[in-house]
Amino acid sequence: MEILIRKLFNKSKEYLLLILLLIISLSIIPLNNNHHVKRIKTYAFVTFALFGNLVESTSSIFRNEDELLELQNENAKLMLDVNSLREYALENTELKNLLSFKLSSNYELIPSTIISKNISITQGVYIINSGIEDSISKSMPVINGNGLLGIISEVSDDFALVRTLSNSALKVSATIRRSNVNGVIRWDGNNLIMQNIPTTADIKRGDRVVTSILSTIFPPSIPIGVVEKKESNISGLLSDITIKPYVDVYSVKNVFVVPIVKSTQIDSLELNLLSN
Amino acid sequence: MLNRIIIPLIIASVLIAIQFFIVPFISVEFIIPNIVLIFVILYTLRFGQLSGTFFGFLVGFLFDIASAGIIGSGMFAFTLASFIAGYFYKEDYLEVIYNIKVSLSIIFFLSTLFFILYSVLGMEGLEVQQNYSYIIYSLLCGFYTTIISLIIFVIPKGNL
Repeated sequence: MEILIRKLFNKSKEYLLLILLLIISLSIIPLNNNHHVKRIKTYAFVTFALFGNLVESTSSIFRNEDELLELQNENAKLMLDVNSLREYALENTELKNLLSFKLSSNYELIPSTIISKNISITQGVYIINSGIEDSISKSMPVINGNGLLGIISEVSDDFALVRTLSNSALKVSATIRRSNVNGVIRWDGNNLIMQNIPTTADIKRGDRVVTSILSTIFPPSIPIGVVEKKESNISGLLSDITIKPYVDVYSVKNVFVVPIVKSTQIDSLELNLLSN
Repeated sequence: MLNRIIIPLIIASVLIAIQFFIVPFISVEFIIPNIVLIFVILYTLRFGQLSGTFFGFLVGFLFDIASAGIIGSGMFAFTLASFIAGYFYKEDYLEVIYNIKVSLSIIFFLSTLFFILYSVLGMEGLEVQQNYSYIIYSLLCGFYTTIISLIIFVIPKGNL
């Protein structure tokens, strides 16, 4: 019997090892939202980011980026300004005062450089070289001169992890500006999609999409993109809206963190809800 | 032990760092080669299926940690890819590696498979789309990886 088992084991040890390793891999995937796993990931990305920062600082010796960074900062601020002005034109002042929502460029944007990118159609993340010491905290929005790029999902003393628009785990509450239609935008692996919008909603190609006032994570009116197409689903009652983002998440190098957290308590609730 | 695990793991770590710090500069939109996978395939062709599978698993773990993505997706994809690569193992491994048609076909097939698995497992909630965008993306990334893998043929035979 023992010989038989040993023979069987020797004959199929590759398969046994494969099955064991695949089971381990698959069983780890659901644990990614576990607090302890998140902590391990944070330590790991900090260690990795330190190395990345070294590479980045070495390469930056050969180029002077101060002026460029200053211009990009100015550009991002102007983008927020322009957007604010658009809002003023569109919104009733009284309503704005009542709801006390506005996004102004009074925020001192925190400039940062991407030191590592995971380019993937489902797991888009960046590591940036700013962290708690630069007043960055979890769930702050990340933008560039064109619009929204993502959100801070983990932060350490010197580095932060940005979950980009091309990450399927990121869901953004958004508004189609012209018709004030609200919905949740998510990355489906190919496009940014606003799902389950009533087919009767007034949405046209080219409509601007911005972050919604309903979001407790993102400040309202940060530009996200424009409506590219509208497709009705099988029932015909609801439609999926495809949005073309303003920001090219693959080519971006420098970003800005908007130092705003609307409500830590609501944030954690919303982040928990979104991660489930 | 040193030649089979430690040195290859050090090389893999360096390649992982290159994958995330330098390779994004040569990406075409989101089409990106995976140089770590090329190394894992070569390792399996050199040391066999059993060692290769285990090595793929370890490298997958390092890859997931470094990518700050979903831990487990890379582990699964690397393990399976290296296991399949093990079927092409021969005692005279140089014969396989330096056979341009065979090795490029292996790399293209396995890298396409890798990108499909990595994308699907990395999707939050496992909502696999009905369309073919994953397949097209994976084929393009597989093709790009295959082109990059041509660099193998520049390495002198004695160094592999």
